[in-house]
Amino acid sequence: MGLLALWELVAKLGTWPSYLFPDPFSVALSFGRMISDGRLGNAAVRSMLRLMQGYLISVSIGVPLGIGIARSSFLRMTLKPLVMGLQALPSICWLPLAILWFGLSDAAILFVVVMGSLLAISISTEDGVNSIQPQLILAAGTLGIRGLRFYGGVLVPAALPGIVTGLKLGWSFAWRALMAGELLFVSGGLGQLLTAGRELLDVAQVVAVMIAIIVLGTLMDRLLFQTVEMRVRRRWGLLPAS
Amino acid sequence: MLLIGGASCSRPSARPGDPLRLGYFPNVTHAQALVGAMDGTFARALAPTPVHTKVFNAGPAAMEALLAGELDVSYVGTSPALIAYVRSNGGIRVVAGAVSGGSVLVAKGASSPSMLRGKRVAAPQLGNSQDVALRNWLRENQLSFDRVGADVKLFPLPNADILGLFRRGQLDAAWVPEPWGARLISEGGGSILVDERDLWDDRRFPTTVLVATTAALQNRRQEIEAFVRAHVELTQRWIRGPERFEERVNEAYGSITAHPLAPGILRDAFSRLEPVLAPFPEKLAIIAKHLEDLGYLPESDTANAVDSSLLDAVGTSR
Repeated sequence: MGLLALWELVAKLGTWPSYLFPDPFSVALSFGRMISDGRLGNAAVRSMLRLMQGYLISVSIGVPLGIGIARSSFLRMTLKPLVMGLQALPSICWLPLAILWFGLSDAAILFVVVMGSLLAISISTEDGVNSIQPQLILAAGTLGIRGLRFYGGVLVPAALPGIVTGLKLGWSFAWRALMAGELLFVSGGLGQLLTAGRELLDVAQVVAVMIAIIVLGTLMDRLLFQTVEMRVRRRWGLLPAS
Repeated sequence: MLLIGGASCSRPSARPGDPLRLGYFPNVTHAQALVGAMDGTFARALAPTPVHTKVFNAGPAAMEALLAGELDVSYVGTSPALIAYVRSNGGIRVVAGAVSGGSVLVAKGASSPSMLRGKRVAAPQLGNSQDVALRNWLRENQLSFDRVGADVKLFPLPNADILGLFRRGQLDAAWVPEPWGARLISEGGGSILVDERDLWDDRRFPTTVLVATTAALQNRRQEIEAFVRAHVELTQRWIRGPERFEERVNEAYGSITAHPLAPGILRDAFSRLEPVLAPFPEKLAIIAKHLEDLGYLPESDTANAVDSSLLDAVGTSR
């Protein structure tokens, strides 16, 4: 509430003209307009769908990749340098190539999203596997647990805290990569709604979409991760019992 | 911190003697700007005040800079000018016309509006003159474009990207300013589906206008007047000697883009545009109506968007 009042005050002070710094009321109006004519809903759905798709691809490649690198010295020698090197590249840098390769399609943005999160997930997963107590692995070997039973029943559950950290990081990167991509490459979604506001010199729309992005991002983080992460940490004894 | 941010955000409007900042685009529809910036006409007219130039891809970007206090005058398309006028509550004014025509819809394999169904069409930027012309024309031809599953898929893209994608077959049509129209035809294998001149009375409509910030008009009127005088001089040079002027435009174009136009493309591009000084307020009003219909602007009164006092002072009327 205090923040809103301060915002309104600054806007009214007139330091900046209204077309540079919108007041809360105009922003709320723009927000309301975009909800009622469905633009915000459609854009949010489009962005979310892309995010889900890209993220699922990243997870399905990243987790096995991380496990593979941790467990196989061959993969570690060949793939790990590549993974570490590429991880230093902000994924938005892939956009020009992605547009050339995939053209004016969702695939270009998906590529950017995947490149953003895949590597983070893989690295965190590898860390998670590497930090499993060696006795656990030995014990499993002694008990004759191999193959899928080993991976599914011992390795992955044991590495779960590291994997979940990776999933969370990957989600964060995917979200940022998606927004960057949608801002630079017009293709529907929240990023485009923001750019449209900019190009039509409608600052209220720009700020309204920014708020929508914040709300969505926070909601997702809270629903998906805080709950999951808490549960895992509690189960693994990394948290005091409630 | 807010104060520091505030001080840098609300730039004090430039005073006389500060460099005059000019914006324009690397299109032949900004012919006067290209020549004036290159051959020193603007610099001489404003001396001793220096003239700094900034080149933009399209109107909305230039208007953003104008409103942010980064420019004092700019050549710009009519739609972005009107949007900027309304959004800034009269913070800019149209002080002269510059070019009429030079805006075409080029398509591959489509010779009628209905053949665009299911196709991908581009325009230089959301809210720029060609984008507005395109959407308005699609509406008048009952082709939908603004929802999932619409008849036509629209892509705002920079002009150079439009050419590249058109050549690769990733775009089927584009509404562009010259010389991009001529290039799409010659290098992209397209043909003209709509020449915007055909959509207007007496085949004339404002494509490019000269705008100035109200702050500049108030605080440095003499310099803006000197600029308008230079603009008029350039326009008259163009009218008196079109071929020579076109060559000069190409020289300037080549020095900005590193690729001067081939003579055939240059001639083709210029065949569809002409210099004008009148801002055509009645036609601006029609464009304003289109902007309202498209939802780009709320209902607004643009009657005072034009300030012809400088043109009158310079002593010409057309």
